[in-house]
Amino acid sequence: MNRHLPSSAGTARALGVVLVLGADAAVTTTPAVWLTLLPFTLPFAWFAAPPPPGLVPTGSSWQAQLSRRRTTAFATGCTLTAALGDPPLWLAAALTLLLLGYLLHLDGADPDAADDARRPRRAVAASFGSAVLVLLAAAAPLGSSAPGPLVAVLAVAGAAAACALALRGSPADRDDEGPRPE
Amino acid sequence: MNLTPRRGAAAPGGPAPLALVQPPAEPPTHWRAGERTLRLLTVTVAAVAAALLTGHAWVLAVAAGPLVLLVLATSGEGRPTVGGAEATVSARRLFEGETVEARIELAVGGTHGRIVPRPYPGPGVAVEAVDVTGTTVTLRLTPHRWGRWSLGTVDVDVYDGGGLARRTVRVELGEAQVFPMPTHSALTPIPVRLPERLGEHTARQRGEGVEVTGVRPHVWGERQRRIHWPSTTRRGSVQLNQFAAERAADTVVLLDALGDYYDPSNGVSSLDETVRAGAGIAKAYLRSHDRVGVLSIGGTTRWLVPGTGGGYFHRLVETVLEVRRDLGYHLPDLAGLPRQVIPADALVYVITTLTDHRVLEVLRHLTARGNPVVVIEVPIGSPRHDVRALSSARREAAELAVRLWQADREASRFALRARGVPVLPLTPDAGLDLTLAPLLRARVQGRNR
Repeated sequence: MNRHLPSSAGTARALGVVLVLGADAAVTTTPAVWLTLLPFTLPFAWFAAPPPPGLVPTGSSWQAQLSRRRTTAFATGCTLTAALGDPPLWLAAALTLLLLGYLLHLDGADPDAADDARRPRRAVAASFGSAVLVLLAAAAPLGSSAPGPLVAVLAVAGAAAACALALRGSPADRDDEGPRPE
Repeated sequence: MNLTPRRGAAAPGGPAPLALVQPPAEPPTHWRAGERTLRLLTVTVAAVAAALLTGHAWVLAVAAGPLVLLVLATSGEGRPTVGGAEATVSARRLFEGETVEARIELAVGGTHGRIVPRPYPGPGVAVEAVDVTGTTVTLRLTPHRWGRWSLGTVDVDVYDGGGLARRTVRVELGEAQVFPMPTHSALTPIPVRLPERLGEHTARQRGEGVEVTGVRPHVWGERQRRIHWPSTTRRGSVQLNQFAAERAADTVVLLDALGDYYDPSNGVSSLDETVRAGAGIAKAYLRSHDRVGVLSIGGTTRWLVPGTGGGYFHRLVETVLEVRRDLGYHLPDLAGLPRQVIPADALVYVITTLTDHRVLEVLRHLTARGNPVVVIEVPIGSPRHDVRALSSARREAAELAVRLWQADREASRFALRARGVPVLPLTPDAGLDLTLAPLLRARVQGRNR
């Protein structure tokens, strides 16, 4: 049952360390401040790996839920931290691709989804391509009117709408739902 | 130091503790986003919100990748219909250590994604393997402790075709009766007096058995098929072989369930060993066609009058299955028990840790009734104390307390032996034969009435 490989957790933590370093670098360009931030943020990289299958907390307390979803919390934390700064293009690109790679690695390391063959390579390529496209659109020097961010916002909003429609499902699906707990 | 009985805890390396395993709260029965979907959505929303709040457009690129992954994961097909699930268990009565197979058949219609079972086994039950084939989930479960246990609960997540949303079906696997594995025993010591029933044990009375006890002169009218020719030739008159009678024994196994102690050295539960030894004794005597009864003292006094036959063993172990739930400090009034529970002259095996002095009172009653009694002492080790954590004065006091405790137990053994009750230490790893071997030197004596 235990299909979690130690190397998987190690890779996730290694990616976590690089992500934390990158997010700190995005916040500040001063090496002294960067070095000061590291002791506070680097330990969080340990939580970049999902809990081992035998030690997944099953309670409903917020601590247990946070522990179960530590990878989501870590990725969100890195995103929010990096968003505080306005890094150069190369660093923003590195951070974007690293975060996407980290998320794809988590998908692959999921023991329940490891056999899932429904993740074609074109989906991975499309996600990387769209991230690069949005990044380029956001960084495009199109004058003071700054249409770059607007284009990026529209692109993301369109994708979000498509996603919401897909998740909502058809009316027949909703009829199939069982009684909701009170 | 820990001198009190503990439940639900075991020393490192010992057997799994019997902590009450509660499955999580009832899962929602409607469709909801899967963990992966939640992760990708959370990152997307956080990135978009951060970009809008900070005005840093590059953060939108972080949101784009997960969003595309989500969109491409949608299959475009409708969600499957999930009707329910039915669980079948291959056996509900088994011995500890045996493996049982539970099959869960899911009623799923339409195109579904992966099926992920999340088992929450009952106390003392280990999940050996989980296999998913189509809409059938197969689990192999092994109960490692005897008792009447819930096999557990399984939450089965059924994902839609794209793997984005899931619906959870909870399946209860029901209860199983896990019988104790009897400690191996082949010896069946017998008391001096045996009841007047045909059996396999050689009695001291003369009878129609197969063991020759002597020769005697022939009396007119007797059958002449048992003539002892050497004596007949020597004495000049017909001499017949004299045989011993063969009788069955009555045996009662008295289980001390007043407490459950965990050996600090190996974490073995004294109650587990008590019941296993009792089952071993019962099995050995039933094999030689004797009558065996059981009596457990603790919270609720349970008994089964002596009986015989192959199926009687299962009735005996079923009687003691509830013992673990009944741990308490209520002593039975032996005089108030039906006389058939402990027949006159029945050999009584008292399996006890000798830690509770109230057992000595029970033993006193038994010997007063005249029954031959044998005490089998279940080892519980000595209490441990952390030497490094104690000051020198407290360390000396702790060591003195352990010595006093050991001396008290030795005094109990001495008092019993002085009363004519043999006290035999149980060696779980070596089986019961080594424990019972001293009883073969002489027949077990009861008090003469």
